Amino acid sequence: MEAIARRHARPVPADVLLHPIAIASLGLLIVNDHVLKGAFPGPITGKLSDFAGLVIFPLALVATWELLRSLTGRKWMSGRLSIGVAVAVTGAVFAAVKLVPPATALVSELFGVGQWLLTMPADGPLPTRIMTDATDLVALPALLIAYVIVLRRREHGNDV
Amino acid sequence: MTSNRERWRRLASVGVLLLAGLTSLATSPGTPSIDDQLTGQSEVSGDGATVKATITVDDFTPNSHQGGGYFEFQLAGEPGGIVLTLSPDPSEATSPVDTSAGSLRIDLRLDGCSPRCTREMTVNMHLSDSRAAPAVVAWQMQALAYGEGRIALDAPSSVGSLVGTFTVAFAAGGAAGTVLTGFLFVLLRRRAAGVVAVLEATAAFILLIAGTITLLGTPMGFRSAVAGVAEAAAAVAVLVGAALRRTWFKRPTLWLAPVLIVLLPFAIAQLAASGAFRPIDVSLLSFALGVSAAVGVLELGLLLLPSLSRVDQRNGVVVVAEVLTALVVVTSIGTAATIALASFQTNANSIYFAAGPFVVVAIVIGLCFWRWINGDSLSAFVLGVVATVSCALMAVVAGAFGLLANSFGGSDNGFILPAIAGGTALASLAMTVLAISPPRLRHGTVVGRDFQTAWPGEAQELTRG
Repeated sequence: MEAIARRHARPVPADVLLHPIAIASLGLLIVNDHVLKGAFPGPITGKLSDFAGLVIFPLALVATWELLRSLTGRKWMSGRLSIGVAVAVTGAVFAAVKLVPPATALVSELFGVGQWLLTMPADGPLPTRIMTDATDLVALPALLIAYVIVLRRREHGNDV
Repeated sequence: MTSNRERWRRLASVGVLLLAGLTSLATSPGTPSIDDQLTGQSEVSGDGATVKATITVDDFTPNSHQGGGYFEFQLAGEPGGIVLTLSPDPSEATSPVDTSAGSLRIDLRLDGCSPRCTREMTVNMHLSDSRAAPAVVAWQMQALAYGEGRIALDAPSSVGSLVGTFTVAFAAGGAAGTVLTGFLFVLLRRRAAGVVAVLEATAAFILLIAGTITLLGTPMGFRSAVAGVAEAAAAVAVLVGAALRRTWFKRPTLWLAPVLIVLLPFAIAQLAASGAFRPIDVSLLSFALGVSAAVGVLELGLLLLPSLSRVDQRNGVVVVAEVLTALVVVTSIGTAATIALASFQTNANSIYFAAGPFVVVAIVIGLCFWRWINGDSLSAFVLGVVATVSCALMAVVAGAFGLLANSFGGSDNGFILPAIAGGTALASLAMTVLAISPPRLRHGTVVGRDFQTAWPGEAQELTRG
């Protein structure tokens, strides 16, 4: 078993989203929102998506940033600053949505517009259902996972 | 220079990013309030040819459910179900709806159903709001009254009994073969493999007993519990084998698989016994557990292949073992997910029944792909795909015996369980034969040729270090 030496894959832009935790978080988000919440409505399923979303969202921001920089031919590998900003923005928006009803309403409308753009139903965009719930802030530490993933990828990338 | 692997890696990254974006839009975060849940009562009765259902929902406000809802009649053993559209607009409804007095009451009469629906019938009622986000819809569907009615069981037909007997005999033969092979292992001083083979066979036997019990018409919870114990026995087999090869514990994926295999079936069995799976079709649960049982073959392979690797390490057999480990983990998870999906969305039982294995296969192949773009060799990727498809075919063939039995109008869907137990046992037998075959023969296998000729250079890469 020790004889196997898997070749390290050279990092490519946005590959932070290929980290197992990122993929697992995305899978959890999909399953929880579309299946588990329906079957077991309650605080646990309500929080699960928050945890998963707070892992995946900063990574998605970083990935988008890396893709844009890569397309313009610039150094794209994200460091502390990039992931720090992504984590801070995500945390701030999440906290606002969960604490301030107008922010909740705004994001709810924005999601509704996004859904409408995707499906174009005849009756126009409708707000999605997002709750203002301060207890959801318990999921904020999940942001650290995204932070660590990006930094570890950078260390690993420097080794290659 | 950008390699092929890197191009795929970029593509996969962009794909995940797009999926994340779509997921964000397609979901509606937030936990529904308990106060919003609807309550109601339902009543089902029948005399064998006609089924009547009366469902009443408390405090129903048509305006809050503009998308209407639907009823589903899930007849055990029947593909799909009968879906009746409910709408506040009588011209659009296929069933009479009375939404007066702040409540919803529907009387249904289902005539002329096939003889099979006299055996068992489950009626679910859901309301959904098509204007809301999907997550809200899903929640509302489940938040409503759920009614269930059961009608007396018919006696199994003689043809069904005949096929059932054949199925049980098939399973018994396979299990017995595995036991013999296990003892052969012990005689050959390959104790770990021998212990595993014997325990695998024990698991197959217990599954067989579970299936036999099913024929006698025992409650589903009991069957599931027995099947769970059988699975646990298989998992213990793997753990014992792993303990005998202590080096395996150095890799988390190798011990994670058996742990999952221990936990999942027990959890499933417990849930089934507690009634959490009541809406689920019995055949699906049996099938899902059966697929999980088929994983036993892989468990055995996990132990056997490393023993081969002492001789054939340069052929990359170890890589195959790793891929198989991944298969075990993902198959277990996929099986559990299949059960979960099917139990939550009962009107789609038959769809998930058919789609479950394909979903598992897709996930596993996706995992192999993921490993490849992250550094595994192309050979491992191809072998993973081959192993996955082989496993799926094996499960399908084994499951086909059960379906065949069921199509003859057998006593119950539990035929699938012994059928897959038999398939598992026979496949285990094939694996053990491969394991004890002379090294010269093994060198001639696809695995050997793959790493020596198909992708020259990769064998060195695999054994580097």
